[in-house]
Amino acid sequence: MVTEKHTFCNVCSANCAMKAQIVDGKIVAIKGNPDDQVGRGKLCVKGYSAWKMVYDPQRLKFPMKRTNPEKGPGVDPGFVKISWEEAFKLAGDRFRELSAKYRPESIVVACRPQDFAVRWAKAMGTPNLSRHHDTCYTTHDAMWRVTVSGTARPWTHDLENARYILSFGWDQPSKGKNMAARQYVNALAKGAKAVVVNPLLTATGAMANEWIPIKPGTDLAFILAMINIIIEENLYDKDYVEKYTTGIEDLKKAVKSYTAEWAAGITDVDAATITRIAREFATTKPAVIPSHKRDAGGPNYDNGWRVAYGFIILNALVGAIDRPGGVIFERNMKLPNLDTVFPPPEYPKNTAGRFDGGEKNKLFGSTAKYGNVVLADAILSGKPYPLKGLFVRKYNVLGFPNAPRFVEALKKLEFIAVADIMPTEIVQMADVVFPEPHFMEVEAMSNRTYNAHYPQVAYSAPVIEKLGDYKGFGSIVIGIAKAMGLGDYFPDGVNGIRLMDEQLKANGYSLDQLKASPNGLLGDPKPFTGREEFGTESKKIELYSKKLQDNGFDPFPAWKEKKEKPSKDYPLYMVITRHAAHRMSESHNNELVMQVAPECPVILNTVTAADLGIKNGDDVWVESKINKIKVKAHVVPGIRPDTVCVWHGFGHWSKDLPLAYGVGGNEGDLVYDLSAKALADRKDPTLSGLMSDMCVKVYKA
Amino acid sequence: MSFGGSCHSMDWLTSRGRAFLYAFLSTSFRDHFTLEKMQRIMNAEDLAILTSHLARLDLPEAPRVSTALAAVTAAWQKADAYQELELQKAYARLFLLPGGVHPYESIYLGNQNLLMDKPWEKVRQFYRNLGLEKDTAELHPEDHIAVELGFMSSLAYMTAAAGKGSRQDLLAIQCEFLIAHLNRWAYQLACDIRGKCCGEDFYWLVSELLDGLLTLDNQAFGEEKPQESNQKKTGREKFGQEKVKQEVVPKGRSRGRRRGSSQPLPGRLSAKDDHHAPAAGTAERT
Repeated sequence: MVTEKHTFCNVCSANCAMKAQIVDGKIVAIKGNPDDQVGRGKLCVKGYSAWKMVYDPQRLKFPMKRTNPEKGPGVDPGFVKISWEEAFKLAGDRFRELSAKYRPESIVVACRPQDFAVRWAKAMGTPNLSRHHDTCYTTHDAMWRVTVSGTARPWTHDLENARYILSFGWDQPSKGKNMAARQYVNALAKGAKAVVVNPLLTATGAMANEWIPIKPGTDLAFILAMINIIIEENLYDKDYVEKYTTGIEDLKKAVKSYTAEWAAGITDVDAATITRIAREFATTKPAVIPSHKRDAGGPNYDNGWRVAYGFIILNALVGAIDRPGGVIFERNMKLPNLDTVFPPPEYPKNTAGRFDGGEKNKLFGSTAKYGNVVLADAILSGKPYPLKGLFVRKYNVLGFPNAPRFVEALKKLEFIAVADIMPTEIVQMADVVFPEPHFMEVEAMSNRTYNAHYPQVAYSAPVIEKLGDYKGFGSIVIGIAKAMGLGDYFPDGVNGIRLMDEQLKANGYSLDQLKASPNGLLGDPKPFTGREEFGTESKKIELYSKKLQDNGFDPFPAWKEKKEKPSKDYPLYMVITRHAAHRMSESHNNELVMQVAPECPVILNTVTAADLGIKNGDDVWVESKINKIKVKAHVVPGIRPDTVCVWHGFGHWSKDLPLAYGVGGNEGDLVYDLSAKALADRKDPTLSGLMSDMCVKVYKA
Repeated sequence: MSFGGSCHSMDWLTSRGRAFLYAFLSTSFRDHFTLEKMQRIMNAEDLAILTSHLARLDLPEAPRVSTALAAVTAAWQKADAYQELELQKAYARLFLLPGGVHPYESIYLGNQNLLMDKPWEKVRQFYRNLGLEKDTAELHPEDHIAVELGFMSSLAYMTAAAGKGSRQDLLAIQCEFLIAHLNRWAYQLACDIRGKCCGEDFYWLVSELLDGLLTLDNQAFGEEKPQESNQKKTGREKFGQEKVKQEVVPKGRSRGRRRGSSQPLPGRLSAKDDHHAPAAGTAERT
């Protein structure tokens, strides 16, 4: 008999709600949940193929400890199976020893935001939570926080009601983001005009009315010219700007010199086109500039934060922020965090700053959504103090900039504990491994964030029994903390299930209600009402930020070039994207996904390839100033001749990932990491990395 | 149908030594060894009885099993703390990490290279037909080699303790399980393990013992050792793993249900490390 259990996809952070069909304890089918506002009954290839990982025989099965002190690619860790008690004791003892010998701040906890991990780090007395956002979207997050929201960025775009969609490298439909693809296609079907500004012709661009192959890293000039034109020609939404923004007059003066002709000389886009796009954008309502994470438009260039601010300004000028057809702050449930629900004992005081100096940034510092870009240098340099212990959850080596250097840094650490599902590269570097369950083996709850037009939470039942000796992440953290003698912070009854229940009760629901919900969801559709106030001190969107100015930054996105430009030795720009079927390391050992996207190419323009004597399918080297990778050439006309593009997420060297091992190259090997000083010298209020800001050369292998 | 046409066959099939060997192999594959566990399991009295029994047994495979058992015994008798650690590393490398073997019937006989594939369903159904479910304390799935061997061990202990009247039914179940399941993949597993070890390695010897025990049982049941033949590609072949060299369909036996196999078994069946009393591992369905 077929039974159906509610769950949600956890391959990416959209968490599209799913229904798993089970026959006698085994998953036989997965389908979307039509009542979910994120997925609306559809899933992407990543979601549909997620069950493969559940039954993948390569999954980690038991806790293990390393017996070989030598570490690195090609080195057998000499793992042996140990009990959970032994694993907790080993990690607890080692972290406690390191904390006593080198001080608590010598320990780094690297994982996505998670309440139990945050409490554990605070209980240890280390300020060093390290996160990946600085390799991803901190530019957006920080600029929204400073100039609009006071908190974070919005994740919802009301594309289906937009009439004009202008994307600077935004390519989520191509990358398989379910809700973005659906909305984009529906908007086009309803007659919206789409313009894609991107050096690479993506599927998003191919479906658009217009593709503008801009020179990489110059989007800011295009944006500044648009702002200037829209203000000078009085095309902006005067009611919206007057009522909901500050600084229009200062901005007007500041951007006066940024003409279309000026921008044309920088962007390789003619002035008439820039002017026309500016006029169309301002006069076709509703118009919107969507953005997501590592878009080609530039969240990770040296001028990325300025681009992010430019998006905000343009969206504000046309009245698109938190209005139908625009960028919408998600309407979701306000879930109290662990410390609010279960107040902890007082945390130990530690005056040590973070290893990346992040606390010195008063604008964005408190969010601590950064660190990974600087981590390797901090370990290797021992500055500002020695880092000796690391706990990592599901951050793979390949996701760090300059991955080979990160491996060298890991070798220098005295102890590494890793929680993961698959035996990835970071697992190969671990001293102790904590195997986690697949998301279909645990109970969980997801607050809708992407495409959240009204508060709604989704429930995930344990769809099947755990197939190995797994413990959930909260239990892992608590186990280590107790082994360190920090059990007072995690008394009996403080656990993920009770936290979910209390979070729901704070919103007038309960976990039992969610479990009993016939569609696995709680929360009913509500009519949309746009915000009248925003989260800045002025309660308005700040088009010319005094706060930025007071903290020593440009108060508006003044022009700045990207850091690296083509040279004789490295004549090609490099941009990065990833295949729709893949999601970083999580999918590269999935047989279904690898059938869809089995290779990692460098995409070259037809003319460029001919000049270099490269044919489609040739093995080629892509080399930056720091490393080189060998990949296949994919020769197409749909990319600028001065630009190449490499897919993200390949280049695995863990032999314990047999499908992924040795396939393609890791483009992150080519990307620079930063020192804390270099980060500070950049005067970037968002503490972001430079994941896209490089040039390369390509030659036959 | 009756088993054990010769007195040697019946002598072997109803012996506690046979049950002990299945249990030992089940334990070997279930978890890594510690010196303490070795001492507990390999007690001298049992070994002496088993060795003596094998020496008297007039079945072609008996000398090979005897030799393999002696080699395994010698290996553990000289084991020290260093070798204990090496054994544990070898276990993880062979059975827990992807570079080793995947000791699941689903991987060997399924066509997707996934756990819980159709072969797993069939094994589980076999247990269920006898009124058995996997014990919740058992961390391996029903088609893991340790669980399948543990199942055989429990039945063998029950056979050894049973009166003549019920022996035939118990032996019919074991013969059917051997034909329908173990014969079809465990030889190849043993071969794959040997392919990843050298001749002096403990798990090389253990896999030799597995191969020998299965062959001995086939001889005692009057079966022929499975021969190589054509069959459709399994998942592990499709996914680039070693080609299956051993075919697993024995001649002269139907795969149909045997007498007694659908009858609930008395008591509990073991797939655990206690070698002298049926215990948990698979538990009676309630």
